[in-house]
Amino acid sequence: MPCLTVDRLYDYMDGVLSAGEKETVESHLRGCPVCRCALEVRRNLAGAAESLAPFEVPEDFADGVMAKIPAAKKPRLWLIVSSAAAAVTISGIGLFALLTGQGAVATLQKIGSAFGSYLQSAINFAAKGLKVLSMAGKVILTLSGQVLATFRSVADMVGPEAQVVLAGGTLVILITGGLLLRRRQILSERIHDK
Amino acid sequence: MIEDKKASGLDDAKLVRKALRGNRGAFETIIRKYQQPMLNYVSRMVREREMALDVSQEVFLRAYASLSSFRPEFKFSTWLFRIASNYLIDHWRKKKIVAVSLDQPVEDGEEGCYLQVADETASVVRELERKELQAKLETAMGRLPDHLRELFVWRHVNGMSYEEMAEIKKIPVGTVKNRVFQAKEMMRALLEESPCPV
Repeated sequence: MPCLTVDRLYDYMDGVLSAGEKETVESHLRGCPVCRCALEVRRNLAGAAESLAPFEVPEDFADGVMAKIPAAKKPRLWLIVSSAAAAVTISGIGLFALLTGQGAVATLQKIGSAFGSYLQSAINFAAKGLKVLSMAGKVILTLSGQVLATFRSVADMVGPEAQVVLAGGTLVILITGGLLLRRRQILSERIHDK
Repeated sequence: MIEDKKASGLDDAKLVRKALRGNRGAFETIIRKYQQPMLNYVSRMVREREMALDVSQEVFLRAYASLSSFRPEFKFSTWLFRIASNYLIDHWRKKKIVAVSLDQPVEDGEEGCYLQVADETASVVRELERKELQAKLETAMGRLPDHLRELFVWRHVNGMSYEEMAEIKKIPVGTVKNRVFQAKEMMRALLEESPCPV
């Protein structure tokens, strides 16, 4: 049998030969000192390469990498809080205007005069937006007139202070519900990861 | 390279998910897990200690920056080493060192790419043949063409399978095997081992 090819030797070393092929190779090796030597040389080389000294990793290597990674952004809690505050403010102004009978624009102008012309311009813009919203609201009110009449009847029965308390309580319930939904979403993600 | 590969793969995917949600500790765990094999590989490619540290650090930073592109159905180590391999190719290209394409055949006597070998304070223990051979091995590895040295290091230093290497380089397994065989034969010739008796 001719001597083994280099590829055959490496396949034998990698252990990928079939049982029959392996037996053929080993049978040849038993009778061929040249191939035995060739195999030994390559085994020594592979063994030496696999036991090369590992690179000495500095203790602070990972710290050095992490130091170059910017800090993770804070959760968007600030966005949620500021959005909720804006929603409370705008809703409170609108509800107060509806309950007291004062126009939304008039209410906003009173606030604007207190905070200067710049704020007044911004609030005027917001007022225009609210005017558009109030127009839409009137359309909704027309469609649900009976519900609003009942609400106004209740409002007439209680004082202005109680009206504010009722409006504030409604807003707190809405915001708490939103936060509880978000917490539930976060908890379900954590359970999924585990 | 990693004994319990399946469990490690699941751990890596979990760590990546945590890192993507802003958990810095998760990515630090990834670094500590792969810093040794990464530096074992990079050090043999660039042949200078400080450069190996710089390159490896850059590889991890790039990995962090592109974490969102990692697909968990694939092995994280494969993805990470692909980043490293591509970075080294760019690194040599910028240094105007020719990086031979894997598709090009290796000719006999090809000079290839000889990176500057850092001065070494040799501490070869001559009474042990193995350590002497290892020292010669390190030098001989530096004389291999980059594309062959890379595969040789992955196979015999990092312990990668042919399939892993094929996935990293996006080439057929058969091509990887042939290249590894070529690298080993070239190493043997460079070491000028005594010829076998006829």
